[in-house]
Amino acid sequence: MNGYSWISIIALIGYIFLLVPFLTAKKETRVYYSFIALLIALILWSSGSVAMRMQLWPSVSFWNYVSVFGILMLPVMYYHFVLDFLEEKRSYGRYFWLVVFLVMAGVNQLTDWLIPTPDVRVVDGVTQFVYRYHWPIYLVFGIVALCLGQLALIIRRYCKRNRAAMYQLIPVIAGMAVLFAGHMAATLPIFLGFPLDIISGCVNAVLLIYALYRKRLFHMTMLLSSTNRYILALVLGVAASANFLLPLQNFFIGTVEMGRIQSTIMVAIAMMLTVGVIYVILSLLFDRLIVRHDQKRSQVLADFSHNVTRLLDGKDILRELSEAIQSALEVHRIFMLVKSEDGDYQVAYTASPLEEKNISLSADHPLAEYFKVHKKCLLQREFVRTTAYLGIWEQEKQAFERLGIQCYCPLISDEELIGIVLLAQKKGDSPYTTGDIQFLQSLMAVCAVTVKNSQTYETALNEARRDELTGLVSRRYFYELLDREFERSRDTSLALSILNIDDFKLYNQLYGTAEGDDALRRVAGILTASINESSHACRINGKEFALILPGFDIYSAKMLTESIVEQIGSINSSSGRIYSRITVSAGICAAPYMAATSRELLKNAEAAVYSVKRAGKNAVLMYSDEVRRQQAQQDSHVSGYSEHATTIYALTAAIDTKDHYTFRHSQSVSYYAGELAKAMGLDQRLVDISIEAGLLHDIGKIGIREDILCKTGPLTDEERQIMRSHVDNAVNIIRYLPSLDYVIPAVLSHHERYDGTGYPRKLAGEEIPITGRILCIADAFDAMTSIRGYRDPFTTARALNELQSEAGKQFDPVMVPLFVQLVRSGRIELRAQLSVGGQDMSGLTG
Amino acid sequence: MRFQEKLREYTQQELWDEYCGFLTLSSEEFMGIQKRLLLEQIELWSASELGQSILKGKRPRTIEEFRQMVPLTTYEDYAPILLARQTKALPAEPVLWIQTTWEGGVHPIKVAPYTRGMLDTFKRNVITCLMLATSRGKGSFDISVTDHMLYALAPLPYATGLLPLLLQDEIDIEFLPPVKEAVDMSFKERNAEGFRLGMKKGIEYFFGLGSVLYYVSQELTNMQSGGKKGGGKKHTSLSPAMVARYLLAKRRCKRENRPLLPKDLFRLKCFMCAGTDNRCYKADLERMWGVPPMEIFAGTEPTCIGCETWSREGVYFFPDACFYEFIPQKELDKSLADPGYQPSTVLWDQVTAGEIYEIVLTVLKGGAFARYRVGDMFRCTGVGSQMEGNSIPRFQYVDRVPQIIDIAGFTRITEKSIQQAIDLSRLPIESWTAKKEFNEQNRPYLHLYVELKRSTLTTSAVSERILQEQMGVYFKYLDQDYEDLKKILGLDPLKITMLKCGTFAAYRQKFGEKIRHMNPESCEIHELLACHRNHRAEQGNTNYEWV
Repeated sequence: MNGYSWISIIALIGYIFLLVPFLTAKKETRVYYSFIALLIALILWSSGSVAMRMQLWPSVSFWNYVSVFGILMLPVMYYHFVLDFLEEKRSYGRYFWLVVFLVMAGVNQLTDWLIPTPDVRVVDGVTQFVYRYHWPIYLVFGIVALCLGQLALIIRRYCKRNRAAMYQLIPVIAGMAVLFAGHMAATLPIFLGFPLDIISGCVNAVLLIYALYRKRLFHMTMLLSSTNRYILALVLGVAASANFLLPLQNFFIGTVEMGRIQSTIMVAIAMMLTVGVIYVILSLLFDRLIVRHDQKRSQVLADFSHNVTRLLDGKDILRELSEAIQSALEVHRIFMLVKSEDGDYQVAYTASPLEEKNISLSADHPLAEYFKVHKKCLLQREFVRTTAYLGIWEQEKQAFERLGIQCYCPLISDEELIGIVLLAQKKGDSPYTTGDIQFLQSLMAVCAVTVKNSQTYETALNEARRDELTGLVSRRYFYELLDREFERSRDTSLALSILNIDDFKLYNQLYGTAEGDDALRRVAGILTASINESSHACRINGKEFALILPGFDIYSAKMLTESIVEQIGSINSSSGRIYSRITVSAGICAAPYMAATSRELLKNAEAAVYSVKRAGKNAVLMYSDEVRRQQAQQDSHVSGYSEHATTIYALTAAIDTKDHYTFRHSQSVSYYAGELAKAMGLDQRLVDISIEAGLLHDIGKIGIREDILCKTGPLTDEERQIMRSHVDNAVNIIRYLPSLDYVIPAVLSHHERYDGTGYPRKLAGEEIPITGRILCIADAFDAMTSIRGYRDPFTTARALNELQSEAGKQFDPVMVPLFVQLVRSGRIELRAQLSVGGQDMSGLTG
Repeated sequence: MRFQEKLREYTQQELWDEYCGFLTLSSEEFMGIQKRLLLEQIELWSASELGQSILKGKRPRTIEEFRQMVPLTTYEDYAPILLARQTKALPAEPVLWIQTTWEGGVHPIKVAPYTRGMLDTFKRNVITCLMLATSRGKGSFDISVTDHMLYALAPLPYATGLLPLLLQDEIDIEFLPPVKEAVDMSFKERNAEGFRLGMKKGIEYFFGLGSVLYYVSQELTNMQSGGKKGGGKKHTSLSPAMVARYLLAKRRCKRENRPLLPKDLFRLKCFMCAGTDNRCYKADLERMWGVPPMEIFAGTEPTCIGCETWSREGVYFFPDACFYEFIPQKELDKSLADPGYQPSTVLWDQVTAGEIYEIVLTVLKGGAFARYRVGDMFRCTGVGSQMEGNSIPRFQYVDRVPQIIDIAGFTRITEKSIQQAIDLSRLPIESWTAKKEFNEQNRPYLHLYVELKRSTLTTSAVSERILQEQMGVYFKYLDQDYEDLKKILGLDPLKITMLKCGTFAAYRQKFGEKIRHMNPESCEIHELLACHRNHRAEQGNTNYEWV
């Protein structure tokens, strides 16, 4: 083996070194396959040459044929490689040239005519291979030239269409030229025996690798796979130990006096150790020099993934993301925009707290629209080349330029663009590489999921803390918030204002729950709009709201509350509705002036509200000693009726002056209703309601004209409508007796019919409050059995029959039999009265 | 990155998508860009002193409000601020001012400010024009750094002078003659030097006003055919390739018995024309150069706003240069009849194929002009093209608005300028009407129909020839462009027809209204001439009054 053989061996090792990573790589395009085929042709050529020069078994001519086959396949493989490199699919030449060169290889194999086997000579003990080329070699060159000529035409045609490809192809063309020149030169006598062709092949392979690298089809890390490290370690190990293996074995045999087998084993171990050490050194070297970069990124990504999965706060996640980007890419200006409730993307985090926070991209911003379609990181230099960029404002362009934005990264989760990360230039203004983009996309993918999760969590938390209907702080969170703000405001002041909507139950009954809900929302809207950022508006009960006002003293809290109460009072008038005015009873207390704990603060504010209610509603009251005293007195009261009994008697007495019948009638109805309620086994509360509602049910007649009230003839439609208004009148009177407002449902529904044809709300069946159904029977029975100016009273039996016949129509079918039984058994005594006139609207008698 | 570097870095398809991608936008996407950019412009313009001088205190926030609050404008609305070059009153800081003639004899010049954003857009759109001019199909173009452009347009401060500057910002193509030298040359010198260099280096791109291109092409033909003295001398600096091509072309022309044409010597990749009346020259230009010229639409106030594609089926507007509105023909007619009438406009995506519109522009990116009547008429030739694979409208340039008579892209003759010429000439013209007409060679000219004052007929000698000469003298005096028309193109664009006394009165009597001074309809001219003949026939048996 002469010195030239080493050239072939080095070339061969080089080719194998290139081939291995390509064999194991993921083959995304055809060019990988054609490059592998090209390398195999080069390997056949080099390996044949090496084996021939080493005169290995079976023969020099065999290895020459292998080498020549490799050489002849080279132009075809080149042809395929270039076409695939250019992504040119249309070419019939692929098959044509393959057949031509296979035929040539076959002819040469059989005749040794085109490229003859070299003569082997031994001169001064050195083996030389002398090629004797004849003219047919130029036939080979001619055909190769034709093949490459056609390839050149294809390249020209392609480059005309695609000028950028020309620059990518330069290394390929240079490689081809080197290869061709090397072969031509090898035929010259001056290079006799020198493997110039092999050297040109090596140069060519390096140029091809460079071309693939430029086309981003090859990365240096591919060469540094573990397989390649082993191969390299082995080669270096063999090379390094070649000179000392034999002396070492001799040392073991001669000096240590080992047997041949033992010494061979020792030498093998020494060689294994050498290879192992070289492998370790190579790995350390590669990892430090090249792979370290990638490993660092992998580590950053792994750490980021690990850290963010434990986080639920959006800002914490974005901080982690920012730190990960800064650590891996050395970008120091980062702007993270997250989708807000209104759909726009607003800055949620910046790497430096000093950065601008007023960057906002609308939901339909061209960048957002672009990401909705493309979903990948976008470099500024690419963005300016898109049609989306046409729609960017000049001031936005200037802002991006001022901030030095170089890269835009989308945060996409479940096909939804939830955020955009803007990155400025890297340290040293080095450009973003493909690797950077891949790394960023991995980061964004992980981050998007966690940000989405955090948003979902925050939404759920907010929902839990927010009242669904009004969006205000819910009752549950109110207590937590009150305690927290109380603690925070220890050194300053904290006011609590509680606003209770007056007669809201009635409002619901009059206009329905949908309107009631709407009113609540509007009240909530006023509260939210009236407070500052540090204050909180809460809905602590169905109709009760609270304002936690840190830093407010009593006076400013009162001013604010009065302003709110005024605004609430104008809700319906400002909306143009004809509904009754909503009024609010509000109570205020403030710490540390009048409360030492948060609980006391709440209790006192509630006491103030209670005082307002008792004093006639619709007012704002600060908690004071007077309120405290009233509260103490109130604690001793048992019934709201007893408190207002005198008022009720006064009112009924007033009716008595207009219509004596009504006065007596109310007392009778109260009696009948109470007895029926007791017999039904209702609890004492409902029995009391029935009795009190009986007394008050016709109190609205006080507002009916006397001529209608006492009319003995039939009522006209208009008069009937006026008469019917006594129900609404009654309700409007009772609502000013705050502690008796619980009777309103009964009063409001005592003219409803079980079949749904009554008034005022046409409720039916169980929709009618139970006390209303009781009153209805009591009212009708008393009306029937009383003497009226326009008819004689019914006998008890007839009245009971009427009740029975109307059971299920006007009256509750369950209550009527019970009432009949009570009358018949004497448990209810008849309280018939005499009357001189007047109309009752029980329906049976009207 | 310059376009030249992009040529190396990116594939043709990538560059096509970048510069010509707007052609395949949907109408919604196109309007999305338009409306978004207009919102920015509304904010800038409304806040500026210039905007407030028109808005009178109002502040539109939406596009609808903008169209309601801003009246249609003309240059008079901007003149006080722009002519004084009050940069602080503008929506954005201008980088340079571009100038053009305004109204021959009445107002000398008008100027328009160009902001950085406008220039960037202009540059990008010029590259698009260049790509489309060299394209023979979708996705392909042929631009090389080694190309040469014969440039037959005026230098700065005219808008046409911007093009070489902007192009050279992007690519090192060679202008023939070099821009720095061309600035100091006369029109004829420029052409001669350009041709001389072209013979030496080759000409790949040729750009100019349609009429000028035609004139230069004819000059080239004459010079190549040796029709002028010294033609042979000019060929001494030919490159060997050009000599070979010249000799072969000579032989071919001799065989075909025709004169040597530019197409025999040059293989144009790109042939662009701008200005008015291009349609009159297109066929001849294609015959001479073997390539159909591609029309682009650009102007001092609007910048470069559109160009044709390889199909030459119509001009496509760029989405980022201006916001486009269109006055339908019916609305235009109403405003012509009643100058106080504010015609309504339709938007770009509301135009109908086949309809003619006057274009109304709002210059984006900090431009000065809002809802500006630039005075050009377009016909929508179609919406969507199978050949170009798009669904957006394309347009064909029709002419200037009827109030302006533009001859071969050189002059802008208005009613005021004609009246001023008449007044200065002291010719006893009682009534007149002017119309742009075309001769047998399809070349435009101004046809002035005049009626003399009866009272002066016996005291002054006035013939059509005297009228034509006198009016010509005063037009030239008042309007430099008019003089250029004659000087550069050798055109005498004025024709005068003298009508019998009483013809205009007869017309008014017959139709109840006066005939328009500027560009009446052809049928109206026909009726006027009928009045002229009938009136004469009616008086056939009597002597002429002035006899």
